[in-house]
Amino acid sequence: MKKSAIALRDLQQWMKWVITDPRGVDEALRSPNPTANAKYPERYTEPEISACGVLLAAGNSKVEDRLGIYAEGYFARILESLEADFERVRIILGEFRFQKLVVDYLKAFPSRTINIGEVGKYLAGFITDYEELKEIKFLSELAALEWKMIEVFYSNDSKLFDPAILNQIPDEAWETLRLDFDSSVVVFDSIWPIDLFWEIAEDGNYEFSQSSTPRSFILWRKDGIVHFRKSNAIEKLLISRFREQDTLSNCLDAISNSESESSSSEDKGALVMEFFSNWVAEKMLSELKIQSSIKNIR
Amino acid sequence: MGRVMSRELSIGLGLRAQHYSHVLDTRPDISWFEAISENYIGIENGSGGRPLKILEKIRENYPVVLHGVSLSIGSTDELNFEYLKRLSRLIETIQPEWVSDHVCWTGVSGENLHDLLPLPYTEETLKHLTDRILKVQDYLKRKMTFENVSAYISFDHSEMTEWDFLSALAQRTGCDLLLDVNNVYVSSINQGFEAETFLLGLPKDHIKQMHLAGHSIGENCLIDTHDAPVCEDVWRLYRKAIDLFPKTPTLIEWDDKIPEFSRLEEEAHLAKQIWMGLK
Repeated sequence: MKKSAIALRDLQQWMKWVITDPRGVDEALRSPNPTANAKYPERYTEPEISACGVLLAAGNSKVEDRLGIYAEGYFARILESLEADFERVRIILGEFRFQKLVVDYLKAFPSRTINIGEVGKYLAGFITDYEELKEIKFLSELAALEWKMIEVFYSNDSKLFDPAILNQIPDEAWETLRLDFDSSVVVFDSIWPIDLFWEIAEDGNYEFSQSSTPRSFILWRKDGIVHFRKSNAIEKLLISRFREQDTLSNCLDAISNSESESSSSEDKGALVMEFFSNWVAEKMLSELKIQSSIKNIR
Repeated sequence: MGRVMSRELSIGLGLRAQHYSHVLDTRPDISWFEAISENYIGIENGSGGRPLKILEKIRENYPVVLHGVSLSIGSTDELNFEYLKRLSRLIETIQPEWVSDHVCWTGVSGENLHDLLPLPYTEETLKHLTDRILKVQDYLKRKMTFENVSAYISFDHSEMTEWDFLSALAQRTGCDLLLDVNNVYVSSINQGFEAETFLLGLPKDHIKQMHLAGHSIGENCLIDTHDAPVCEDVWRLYRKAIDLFPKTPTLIEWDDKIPEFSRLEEEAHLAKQIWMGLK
């Protein structure tokens, strides 16, 4: 066999360039040092040491055609993954504009993740600054929500508590009750009606209007499935305070001091208990603690 | 967690999300399943989510092998210990029969191309992989199994054949080999070598597992798409492989245009006939 020395690292860097060049293999090889593309020049520029001379394709095949198989596979694989993860964004944009978005996204954020399922991590932030889609004002928020759903899906497991133990809490201990939420529970604020995002027609038709103040939504994982529903300022405050390990008594004080429509302390207590019942039913809670026995209850 | 005890593994199937319910609900008569590690290691700072819970349930009833696509053992970047940490956690949870990945590189300079890219078969590459495989086996405290990949290009400066390279790698590291029969066939057509010569050159004592899959026909080459039944030429090559490496656990892979589970069972049945020497 003929020996043409090229270090393994140089070979890999050259192959990475030619496979991922956004223009495709043929154009990359035809014009390996373009000057016109000012943004992300490293994606269009051939590394100093070329490996072109050491690649072989058997029979009648051309090396560039064989490299093209890798290049097509690279883009198709990532596109397929992002289409699955950002299903609503894709419906809104349609196939062509979504593909263009992915091409441009990969120029700025080539995959640096172990798992192809994590490639979309920065897409929402990218869309925020992406001039070509500025007219779709809610798009980055929709992308952020779709990514948040993936994070919720893969959030760490917590042990859910058994609702039956509620009967074991002495009346006098309720004031000292502290709660922990399942690690999947997330409050997502938006000025857009994100609950309507899932009603976008398959043809991408939509009509949304933003509200003057953000609205809160809760996402969580129950029985392995991601759920979300509307929330409100009081529930958001309670989740935040409980997560800071405040007692039920302190949480009641906190919502008494906050602006809300209900006025009496009885109303607030009833409201908290309603939230509490929902959290139990929705399997959002992982742990209860009461001070009197200094013990955790699951 | 209760787990089925190891027994002689014959023909297994690649576990895919489309078939989770069927496998859990009907407990089909399949010898073992192979799970893609990356589908269960979750995302950074997360868990394996629902897929991992399902895999744990399936593990209660079947032997499971973990098959990775991201180790990038041939990359000239540093070994990715974040990946190994997550893989180690998955191994701890699932207690697989064995763990495999590919003789390839998937990225360089911190970027991941999410593909199984070929390596030149040189002494430099051999030393590089030997060093890294030893480190991985040391970290995971287990022998690894490595698969030959399909390749659409080869390298003018290769100093040895792929089968000699794999043999040397197994000998130097003690690792086992996953012989992908379809990949041998695809590469033999694409690169113009004798597929049978490849099989004859492999070290018998290191063949741990085989893969069977379908491919598609591209322009002047075959493409390893895993979206079709195993073709007759690959069945023929598998018969030779089973003659050389009898009773090697064999897996049917089908990753795209995934059919009903019953279609996979048909492929598994045919493989079983060959595996038993009946066809």
